[in-house]
Amino acid sequence: MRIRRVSAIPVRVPRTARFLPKTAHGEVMASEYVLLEIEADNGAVGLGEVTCSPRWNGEEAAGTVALVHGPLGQALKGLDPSSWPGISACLDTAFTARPFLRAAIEMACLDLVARHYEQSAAQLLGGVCRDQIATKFVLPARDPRLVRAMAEDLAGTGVRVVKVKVGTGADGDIARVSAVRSALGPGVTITVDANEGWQPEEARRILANLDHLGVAAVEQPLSRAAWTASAGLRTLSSAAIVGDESIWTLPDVFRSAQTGAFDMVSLYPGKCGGLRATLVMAQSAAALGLGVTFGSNLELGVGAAALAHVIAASPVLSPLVPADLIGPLYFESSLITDQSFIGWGTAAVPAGAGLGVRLDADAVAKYRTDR
Amino acid sequence: MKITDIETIPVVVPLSPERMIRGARGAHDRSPFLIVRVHTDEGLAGLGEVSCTPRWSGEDAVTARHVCDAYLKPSLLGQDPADVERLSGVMGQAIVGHHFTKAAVEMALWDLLGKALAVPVYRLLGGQIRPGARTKFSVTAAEPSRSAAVARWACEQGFTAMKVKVGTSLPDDVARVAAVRDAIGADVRLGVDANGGWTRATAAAAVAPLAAAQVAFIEQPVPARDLPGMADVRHRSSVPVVADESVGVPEDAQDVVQAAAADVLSVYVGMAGGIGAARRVAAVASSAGAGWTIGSNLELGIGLAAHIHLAVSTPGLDDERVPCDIISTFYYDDDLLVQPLPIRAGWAQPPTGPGLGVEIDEDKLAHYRSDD
Repeated sequence: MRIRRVSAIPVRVPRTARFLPKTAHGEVMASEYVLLEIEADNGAVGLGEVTCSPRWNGEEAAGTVALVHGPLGQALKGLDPSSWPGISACLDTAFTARPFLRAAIEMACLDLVARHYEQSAAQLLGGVCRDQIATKFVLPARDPRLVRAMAEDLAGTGVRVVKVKVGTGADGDIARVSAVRSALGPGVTITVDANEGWQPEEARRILANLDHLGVAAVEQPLSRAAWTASAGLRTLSSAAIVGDESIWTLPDVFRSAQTGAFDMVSLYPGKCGGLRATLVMAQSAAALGLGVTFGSNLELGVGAAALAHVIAASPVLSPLVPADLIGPLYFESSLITDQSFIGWGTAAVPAGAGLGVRLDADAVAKYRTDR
Repeated sequence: MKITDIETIPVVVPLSPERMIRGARGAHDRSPFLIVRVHTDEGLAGLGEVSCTPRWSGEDAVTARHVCDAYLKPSLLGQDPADVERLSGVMGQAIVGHHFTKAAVEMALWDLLGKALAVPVYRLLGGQIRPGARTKFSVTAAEPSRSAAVARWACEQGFTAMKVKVGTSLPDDVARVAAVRDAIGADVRLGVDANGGWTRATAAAAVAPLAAAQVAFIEQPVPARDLPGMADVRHRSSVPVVADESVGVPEDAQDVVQAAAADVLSVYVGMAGGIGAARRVAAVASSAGAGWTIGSNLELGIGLAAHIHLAVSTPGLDDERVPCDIISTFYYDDDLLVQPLPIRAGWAQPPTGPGLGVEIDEDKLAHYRSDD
């Protein structure tokens, strides 16, 4: 089997107004992605998805598309998609960084090869450890009354764990979490995500308040480079401190263990530069005594499917902090024909060979930005 | 004064075939860069250069152009270019990463400020504290006799310091270094640059044979992220270890000095994200007692000018132990400038005109532009 063609389709999909997404990094009304299709000489096609978030990961659609349709596509032609080492070495010569693009290419190769062998992607990643994935829902960093109403809206959906975005101002953050606790009662687990938004000195006060509210986990409280200060926070809170923006590579996992900056790390294929890379980091983290949870950069259907397969294949997974496998719920369309594998408090691995999802051609035509 | 436009011109300038560089990160035979012009309502224009090589900088001209058009220009239109520091922050908010691209716009802002005030950029950075910078040549990785011939050529041009690319196979690397040392004699200062291509074991094994060839410094022996590995080589070696790919933005410099991973840090305006950021990298190095020097991504004239202004105005330049790589003029047969920079073998001085002190030759720009 040899790669015959690689193509990239830039898309822009509006977020649903229902959950008005907002974090410490800002407010986003629509998101850009690049869909990848890798076709083999036997006609089989695999799908990949690149999350483009210029303000968060710096990868943007036009450059990504140009790279895929230019030197990268040329270099991949004729390579064996089932040989990841060969493909990986090729990628090393075509670009540096761009972990989300790297992950998308791996995703598409895996989809293609797994379909060919009539296996699921999770099986090719080492086998399935679970077929149900507990998830958490994410509430935006907005006015506490508004967020309270959204939390009330979740009642009856089956959501057992919510993550509240914070990091936009201490008083507002505390009020928002308090409003959510009030709306959902003591039976729902609450975590928060500050997206690097707090300063060390205010974090003490905020964490004390969050402890009173029974917050179970606090994600990326401080700036991604603040390893020592983050280690200091761990003694102040009974919540698990989770590293996200600090954790991109395996050396970052080692650094977490060495500095004691985090109790747990949040991993996902885009940020970690691949599905296999994510699994390696997960197992290393666990071996070093760190908890492992799976985060998100708000994937569409293909990206969410890939995340589901990785989580299914991971021998390690925190029972405390469910995955952020919810991306498709945030968009007008997830661009696949069937997103029913994503539920409101739980997700499944899409059934079938490969990633188990197919593009909805009409949706792609509607949201693509290159025609 | 207000910014009215950010114009981008992709160019491809070929290297002189005899002197193209091959190292552990691949071969560089042509430079597909992006020239940036920041236009204002007062008729002044600032010049910048995105010295983007996908395999080394991770940036490319197509992406750089799009980043300028879609993210940087909208955030800078109507702003006063004199607010260089503030506008650097604005660009940082607009998009993450893309340091070489942002650096091009930032250096153009310095150029504009200098032109508006009729002073050279080094004067804006605090004044000239040294007359110029010592420079070294970079000898490509090739089979020994070929590298030796290139090294000999560099001596003939007048270079008294150089580095040779290593970092693939140790026996080949050692043979190349020996051949180069043989060709240049004992008086030329000679270092090696592995571009992160050795493992820790190979780097450890390299120390003795390199010492036998009187190698005076070892640049980036192990991969960029392996700071403990860099520190390890430093402990084994009695000559300075230089961090190059390990250092981009000031936070990287902090990591390097905290890990005691290098004696000298290699600073780039592009990798840092601007002249201002590059000065902060230099300051981190100096405050930790480490030296710093200037690296090369084979910048064209505008990028080189930025490096020279940085080198002559910023404290702590360690150009005696590790001379700067301000050498691109020896690799290209042609450049985009009306007047060549005052660079000769082994020495670089700043141009004295206002701003960066360079002017684009429009005919050459038209000749080398790649978007028509």
